[in-house]
Amino acid sequence: MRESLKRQPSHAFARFGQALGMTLRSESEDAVNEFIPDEVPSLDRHDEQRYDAPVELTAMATSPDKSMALIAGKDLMQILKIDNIDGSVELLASLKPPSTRGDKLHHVTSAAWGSHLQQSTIAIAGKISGDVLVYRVEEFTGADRVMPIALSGHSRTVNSLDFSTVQPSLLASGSQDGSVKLWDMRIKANRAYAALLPCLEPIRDVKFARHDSSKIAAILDNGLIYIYDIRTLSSFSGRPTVPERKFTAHSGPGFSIDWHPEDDYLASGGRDRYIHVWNLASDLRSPEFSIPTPAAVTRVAWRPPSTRRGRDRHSLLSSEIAAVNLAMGDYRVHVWSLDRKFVPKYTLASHDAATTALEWRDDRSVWTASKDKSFRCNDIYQFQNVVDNLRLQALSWSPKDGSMCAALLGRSNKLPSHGVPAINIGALSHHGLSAFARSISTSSGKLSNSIEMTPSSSYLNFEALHRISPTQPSSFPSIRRRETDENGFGAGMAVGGRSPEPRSPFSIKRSFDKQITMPPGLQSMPGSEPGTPVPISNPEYSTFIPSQAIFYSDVLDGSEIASTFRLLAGQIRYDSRPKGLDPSTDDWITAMETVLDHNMKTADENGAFRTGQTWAILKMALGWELSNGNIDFIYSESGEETVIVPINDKQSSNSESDEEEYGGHANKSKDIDGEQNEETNGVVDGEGIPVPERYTTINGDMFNANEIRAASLSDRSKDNDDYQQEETRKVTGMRLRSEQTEEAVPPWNIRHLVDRALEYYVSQGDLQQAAAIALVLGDFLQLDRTRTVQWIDAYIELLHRQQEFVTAALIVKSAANEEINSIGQINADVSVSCGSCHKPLTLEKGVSSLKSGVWRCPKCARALGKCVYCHMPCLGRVTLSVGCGHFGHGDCLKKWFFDEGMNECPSGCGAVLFYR
Amino acid sequence: MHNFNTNHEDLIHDVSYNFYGTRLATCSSDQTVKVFDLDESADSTNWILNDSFKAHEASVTRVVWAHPEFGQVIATCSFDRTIKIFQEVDHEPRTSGRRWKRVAVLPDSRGPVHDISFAPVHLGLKLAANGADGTLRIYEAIEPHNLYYWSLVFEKVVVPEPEGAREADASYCLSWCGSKYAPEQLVVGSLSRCYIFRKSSDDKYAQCEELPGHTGSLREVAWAPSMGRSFELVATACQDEKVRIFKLSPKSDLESSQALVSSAPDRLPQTADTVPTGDHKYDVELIGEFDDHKAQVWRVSWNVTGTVLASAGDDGRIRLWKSAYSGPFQCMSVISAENKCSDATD
Repeated sequence: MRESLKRQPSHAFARFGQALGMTLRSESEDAVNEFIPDEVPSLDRHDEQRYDAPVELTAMATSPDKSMALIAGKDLMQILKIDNIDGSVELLASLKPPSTRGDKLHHVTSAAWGSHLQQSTIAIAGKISGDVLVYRVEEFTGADRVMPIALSGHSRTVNSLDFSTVQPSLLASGSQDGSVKLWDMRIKANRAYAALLPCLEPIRDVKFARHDSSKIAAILDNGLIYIYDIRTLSSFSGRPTVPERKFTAHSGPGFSIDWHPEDDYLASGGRDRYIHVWNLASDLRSPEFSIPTPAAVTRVAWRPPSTRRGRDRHSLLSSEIAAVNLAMGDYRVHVWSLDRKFVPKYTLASHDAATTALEWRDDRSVWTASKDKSFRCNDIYQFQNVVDNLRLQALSWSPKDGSMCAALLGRSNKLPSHGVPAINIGALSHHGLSAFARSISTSSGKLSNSIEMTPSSSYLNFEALHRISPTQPSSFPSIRRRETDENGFGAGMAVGGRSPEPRSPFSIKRSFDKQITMPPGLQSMPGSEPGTPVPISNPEYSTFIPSQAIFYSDVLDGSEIASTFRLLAGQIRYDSRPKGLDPSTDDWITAMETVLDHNMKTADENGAFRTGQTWAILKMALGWELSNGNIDFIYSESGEETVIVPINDKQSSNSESDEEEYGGHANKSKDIDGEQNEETNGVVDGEGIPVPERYTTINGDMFNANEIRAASLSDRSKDNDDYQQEETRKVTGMRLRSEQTEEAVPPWNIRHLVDRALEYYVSQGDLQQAAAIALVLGDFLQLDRTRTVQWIDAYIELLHRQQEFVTAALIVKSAANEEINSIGQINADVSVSCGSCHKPLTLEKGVSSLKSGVWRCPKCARALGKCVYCHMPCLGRVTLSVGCGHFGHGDCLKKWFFDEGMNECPSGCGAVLFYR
Repeated sequence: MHNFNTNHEDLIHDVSYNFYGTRLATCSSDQTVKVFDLDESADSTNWILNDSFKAHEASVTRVVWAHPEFGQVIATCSFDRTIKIFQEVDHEPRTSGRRWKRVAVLPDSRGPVHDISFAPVHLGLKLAANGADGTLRIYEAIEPHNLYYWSLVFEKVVVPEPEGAREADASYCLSWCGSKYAPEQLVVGSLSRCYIFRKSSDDKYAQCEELPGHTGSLREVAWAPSMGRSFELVATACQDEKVRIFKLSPKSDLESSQALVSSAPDRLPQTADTVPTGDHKYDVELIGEFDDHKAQVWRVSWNVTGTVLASAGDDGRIRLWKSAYSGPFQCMSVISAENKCSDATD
């Protein structure tokens, strides 16, 4: 961990140095040599520096050696001495800036600290006066009163001050009056050395280039950036000069700029919520990078390069920018990396109010001053990497076919990843509908011995299933990720394997050709030689894009299962009531048998053999009950018919459940014990044959009928009355006699079977079968009504999801249950205001031939409920196109579609409603 | 197996099917939401881009579909502290960037919004949100055909906001109970606490049972579709690397009334907090706790019948869990990505 922080001057800087005939000393170099201990603080450093000031802080400047800081706020300026070893902060001096020319400084808007030769010079500017006050730090010690040098020249507030790092005597000031002035500290006359840029737009920020003595950049309130070469200034004349370059950086006010510490790049932030990075070697028509941030950007600052970050050192992509956003309630400072524009690398949350000034102490900590009256040093490694708290996985089950759609990335939990986890995707698939139609077996096979209804499971072998995608389930810091994250992609992306030989830090592979726009100046640059330091404008680069793609698949026959579900849904019958108004008991029995038989065959034809087997067994079980005289028929008097209708339906349902129960039971016993199962089947068959005779017997048996009524009605005396009037009654249903006459309940007792079968189907999510059983046999067996309704309701929802609306409607219509029947008949909305402008609707009479008038919005004159064909209001029933939602009078639409032979919606929406 | 490239430029945080499984919405850190339509013309599984639009000013963390009864409506939430509602505009061309119109912005949250969820359709058009200010909010569009106006019908601080730096690993989540036959209720995970909120008889939401045992931030909770089962299942994904499955068995009336009496003193300290507690309707039982991922678990999701649970974690794998017939939940499948890199092994 111990490593020298001493930096080599960059090649770019060396070039400029030679060109200018200047020394190679740079502010950063000095700073490092002199002040930063020759020891890299360990990662677990916790020396958070903090100083609480008496006022809201509005400006901050730090000495080049980072041992002192100037903080300023309303009518107050303080100098802090900072010990970077133990992290202590102490107040060195505190003073009220004097008023000059009768004006108070009020809030200090800007502060600057001179670099090496001028490192004891500080300058501040206030809000009201246009004066810049210059102090010498030494004067503060022990002095009661310090008289600053006032630099007068600006007519309005000075927004920004900056000392040149290369020519330390130069101070630039940018003002609200629309000019930048340069001051030379060596000249005693308090007069501007040169004035630049007199224009009407206030200057928001001004900065000398840190690597180049000749350049100065200013950002304006209209979003323009002006760059001057100060060598071309007509010195001392005060005459304005033309900018060397001038370009529009932001679509609104620009707030802040910062030069890259080593290279010819400029970062800017503005109210348009962007941080733009400009390559000054380009034509500047568009930014080289753009980072969209959550709010207006008030401060930007490049993170100083670090030797600790090794090979990334010269890569612009690895450069980072700290930015302050101006957002209500969000006072965090974000550190963005250029290679990932959407997710900040770190988010520093330490202030409770807006941060007004920001400066990097070194490559890992940031000083901030805030309106919460505190000055802090934030160690960025104390804050969790933002990406570490982002969800990398997305998954969703398809309600349509039970497949799964997912995007996956992994993340190593071992490495503290400062980089973005490298990865790929995953993907997947499957299977969910299995839950509809079938159950799923576990790979361990444990399911298979639990109950006889376990499916054969040949189609589900999860272990063999998927090799999803070549995904990298772990992360790699930084550079490597760009090489690895392409491995997963196949088509559609340039695929690059990991190169066996060490790569140059600069040759980052481009991952998506189409997504990268190379600035013209860069495109023709040759690739770099491995290991050779290359000027920053050379690297082939790309921004980082996680190679997360969505995979979708149907490995598990999910669509087949879904189609079986849909086929069955449309074909099996849910209603066992006989047709005709006046069913006889024979009709009931025939109807029941028909339904069960039909369902059995339907299931078999569609390959759902187990389901079919269940229905078959239920049929046999019902037959057995019939043959044993356990079925009671329910009669109703003609006069009470309306009242009894529900009971009637219920009873028919009951009879069906009875049948099914029997089947389920037989099935179970079969799985548990083969012999017993065969025996059961034999019994059923044997008893199934005489069923019609039994029915007739039952029909003729008055006592039996009486008993039925007794069971169905709680009031026995009423029953007896009914019994006496029996001849006028119709059969309204049948039910399993609740009190079994047999002393021993056989294992295939239908109630027992159905209970277990339902429990099984529900637990396995096969709502189709559970609801069908409940619908067919529910009333007959007097199943728990509450739960029956839940199953049917759940089944209807599944049908809706499968878009089997017709089947769902049939069930709603035919179910012997008010709750189900009433679906769709509740929740009517009545609009009293216009849907688009919210004005109350008014009733207009006489506008049309309608007596009732038309409800119309007075503002947008839009009538509600207009027929799509004749534009007259529709009242009552309308014909609705489910596809496009347009509706109209039935007659009108008939005319359109049939008389006029059209096949598209008359509204012109393009929906084709008729296929001829 | 099919894959399709969403062309998102950063991490995809959520994918979401609509009610029918015919449309897919994705949201990403690149601040955009994309909607795809299933190509239903052929018997294919091609997803066609319907539209892609910039939805927020920061990472979009969730995208959810409203029930189709309310039209083609999606809601998104983001780290930019807002929730937005978008509605499809039929007459705008596909992939124009204008097809989804923003109809409402819900800016109440004072922190990033981590999770939103539409209530089941029988409760109307309601949207619950939980975010980094530790506050559960429930919005309702009183007139469902008018998506412009959402009223905040409930707002309650579930857990106090954590201090500054700790915010980073905080996470918040919620999930509605979809059953029509249970009271209006939802499970809310805030930091490491997980509660059930239920609408009580006086029409107010009250904090009821706690699902205990989490030792890290809850990353996602999922209330299983009950589908007529006699009990409810809730799965949680947690930072502590565990997937947990809770079974909520209804107390009988007698039990619950007894529990009310007996637990009254116990609940007193809780009522001292800002959150009132409601009646306990369920016996909460932890029926599964799995650390198979050996890494943070971020997602849990039940299939449409509530019988198979999928969980995904930082190990880059999806695990499917299913209960054997009336047995414990078991891992039935691991869907993993091929491991091309030898040093990436667990």
